[in-house]
Amino acid sequence: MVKRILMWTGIVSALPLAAAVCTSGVEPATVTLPMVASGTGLPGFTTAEGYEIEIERFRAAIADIEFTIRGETHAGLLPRLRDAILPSAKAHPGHYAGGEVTGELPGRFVIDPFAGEDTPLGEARLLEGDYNGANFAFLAAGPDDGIAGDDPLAGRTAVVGGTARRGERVFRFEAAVEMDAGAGVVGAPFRLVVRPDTRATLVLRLLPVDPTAEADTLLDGVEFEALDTDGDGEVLIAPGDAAHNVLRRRLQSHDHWDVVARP
Amino acid sequence: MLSLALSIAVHAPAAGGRADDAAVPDDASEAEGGAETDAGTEPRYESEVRATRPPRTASERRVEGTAIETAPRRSAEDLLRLVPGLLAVRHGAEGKGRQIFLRGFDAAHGSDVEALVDGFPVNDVSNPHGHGYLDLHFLPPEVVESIDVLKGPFDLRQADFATAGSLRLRPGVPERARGSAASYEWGMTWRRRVAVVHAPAGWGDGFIATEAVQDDGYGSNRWTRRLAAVGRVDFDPDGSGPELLAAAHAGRFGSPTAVRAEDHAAGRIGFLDGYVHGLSGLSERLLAVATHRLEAGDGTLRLVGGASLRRFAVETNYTGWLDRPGGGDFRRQRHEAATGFASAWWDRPLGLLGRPATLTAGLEWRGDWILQDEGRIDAPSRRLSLALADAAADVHRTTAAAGLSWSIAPWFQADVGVRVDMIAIGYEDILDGGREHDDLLAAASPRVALRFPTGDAWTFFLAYGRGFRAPEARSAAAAAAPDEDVELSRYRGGRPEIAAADAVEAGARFSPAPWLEVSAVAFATFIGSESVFDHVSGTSIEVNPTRRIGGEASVAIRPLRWLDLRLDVSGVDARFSGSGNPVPGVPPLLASLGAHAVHRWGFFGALTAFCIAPRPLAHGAVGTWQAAIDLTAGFRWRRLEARIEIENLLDSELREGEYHFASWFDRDEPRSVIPVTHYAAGPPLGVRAALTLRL
Repeated sequence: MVKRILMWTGIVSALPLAAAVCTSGVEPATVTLPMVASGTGLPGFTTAEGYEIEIERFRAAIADIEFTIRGETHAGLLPRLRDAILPSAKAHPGHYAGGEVTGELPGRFVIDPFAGEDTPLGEARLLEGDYNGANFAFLAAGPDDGIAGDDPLAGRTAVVGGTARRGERVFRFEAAVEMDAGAGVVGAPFRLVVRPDTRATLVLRLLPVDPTAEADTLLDGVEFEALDTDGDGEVLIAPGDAAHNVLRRRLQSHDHWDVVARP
Repeated sequence: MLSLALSIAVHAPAAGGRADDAAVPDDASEAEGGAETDAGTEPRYESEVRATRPPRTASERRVEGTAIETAPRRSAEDLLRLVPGLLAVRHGAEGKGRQIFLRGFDAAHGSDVEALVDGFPVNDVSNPHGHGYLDLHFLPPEVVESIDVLKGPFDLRQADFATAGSLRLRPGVPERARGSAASYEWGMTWRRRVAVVHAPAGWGDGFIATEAVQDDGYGSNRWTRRLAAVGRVDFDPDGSGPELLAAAHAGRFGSPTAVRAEDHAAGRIGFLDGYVHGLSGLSERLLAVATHRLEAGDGTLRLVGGASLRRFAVETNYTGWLDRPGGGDFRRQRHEAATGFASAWWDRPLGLLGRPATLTAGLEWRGDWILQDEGRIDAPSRRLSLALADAAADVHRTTAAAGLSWSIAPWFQADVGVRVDMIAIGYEDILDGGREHDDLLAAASPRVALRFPTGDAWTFFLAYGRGFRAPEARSAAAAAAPDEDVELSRYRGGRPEIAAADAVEAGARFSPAPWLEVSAVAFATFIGSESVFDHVSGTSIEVNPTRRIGGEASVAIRPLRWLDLRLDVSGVDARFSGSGNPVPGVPPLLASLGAHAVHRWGFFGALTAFCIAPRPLAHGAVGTWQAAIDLTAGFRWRRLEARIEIENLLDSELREGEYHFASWFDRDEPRSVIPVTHYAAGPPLGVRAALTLRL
């Protein structure tokens, strides 16, 4: 009896030891997908103040695109808000890991929705998973981005130009946007189930109108008529202006960007 | 019915000796088998069984005797590995608390495992490094007499943090080991340890013990140094009068980093190495606990009162230069706390419908006054570069409980009760100009344990209980919303909540002979709403509901009078209820084997082995099989005892902890935020030798 007990004890203990020697861990599959910035223009829209806006020029300098999965926070939280309050991987062994960034496209990019064609950004790497958000940072554009010193975008994060029409009044506007260091977009919608066999092109889009029920626009809160102090119909929006702060805040909102997957 | 844990040679207490913890009172003592007493000062090697009150659940265990005495151990924390189904992972150096996994919970540093020493709760409330942080280094392992293990929250006395279970440690020196002893231990990692225990036979349960440890540790930055002293005064050695336990501890330890598995696989870093060196931590404690059991009215009143002072600090860098490419992700967390605790539990025997019963009523209070801060530090100056938190807090828990233990029939015994806990939190955010926040929370926790002893061999059990974990003090501040973001304010944690875990357990014990016990348990735990404070965002977030379903089986055999064998297997499927995703880090299968021997000729030894099935990690990654064997061998001759401990006998590359997160240590490589598997290395093959002189 005792011998049998000892024999089985030895067998039971030897099996896992053998298994331990023979196995290795498994990393989730990494999927590489091409990513572009949409270059097919921006639709016109009407602001809350009643201005009909046609954006004709827009360029912005961005960097380090990240992709996030839903994670396991409460479903009652809007996913994009969850992303907003969990900005990055919280890495402590064993503590609750709130951050769920599992995909990336590092680098610096200048995007131009009016380039006429999509602007290739590179190859994004994503772990397989159910994605629901994207983040990226804003930059001050410079020579590293191929921006010459006399370019309006030089030293700026974004330049925007176009027309604003209300009734008979037409205003031509130009805006130069500067962002604080570290500013970016957190939680832009990106819904895609990524599996090892997923084939798609990821497209980064600027959305002048929030597609949610709020339907706010990039230029809500900008009163062009008041800004045209000399009445010549030309409006310049520069850092320090209240309108600049409105536009800067809108551009940082996850409501005005998304990433879609194109087959 | 005798409660037999046959893997442990349990010895009869001295006259007047007592199982101190009220949860496991010594209803009776009975010796089995003859005592074989050697002459002079040599210890008695006996096979005796002490009867305690019958276990309330199938999973309840007491670890003591030769299991503790012979198990390979560096510190009292290593003794946690004797607890069936519990995985204690060291991702720091010796001196830092372990990461604990139990019943499908990743309890981090103790957030789901309540720990008491002589009835005094020792989890750190709101420690910034981990809520419920547990550090047992103030107890030299020689004076850990027993560990009562209560898995699940089925006992009325289980309080805050007991969502996965409770550990109740009883410091002391077993009767047959009483006397004086001085030990010197040397280890391969330039380990030097001196321990002195003084426990004269006439002191009742009193003793004094101290230890001094210095160890360079294995691998990178796992050095440790500590001094600890603990003692108990038994004011009534021949009776059940008052006792006073006091402890003091000061420790320093290195703070290693986890290693990227791909770096090790590619040969870029050694298995035991680290990326960042020079980080350290400290842990200090002063503790005094008074206990007294007295007759009051028609019942027994057990009183516990105590206080502790606690200081903890740790520097960490788990992610390299990922978040701060310029300065590195170096952090420092500091925690100072004064804790007071008082409890009174009254047990009154009575007759109910002609059957014996015991009415139980209890009152408890725990108060913590806390100073804590957290911030980024610059390496190598260690100066604070960015304060992330700086606060003063006080947390008070008051409890009222009532229960009934009733032997309804010879084949049916029931323990039912309910406890109501109120948590009051005051939090002063010094970073926010001293802004004050407060919160008041309450939870009612019913507990039911049914026992069906059907004969001499079989006993069946059924239990339900609700465990709870109060939120961190910092969560009281999270309810404040940033003024500039109305939308986000709706979700900025909201009101912190007490996390409640509803657990059920069914099981059986089969003990057909004094040398054999077999038990099997099925359990399930459900958490509907779990509020977790996220230190990055400063927000209480609600984690999706989880459920844990599992089973445990154990076989304890004493094939020879001097040999105890135990095999424990625990399996659990821990998942988020909605998505079905596994809870990261939780081992689905944990098996442990223990063989402990103390022969009357003087030989003693132990072989302990454990095996962990691959753990699901975050983001779909999976860990690896892990297994290790530790060995103790020794011999006692008259006043001398020689002991050798071999750690990780097979020298396997032991990944005690496995995690999946992003890091950037090699700045010659491009920065990447994509998570990868990291591991915290367990010890390699190591030998420690100790010589003990007993007086």
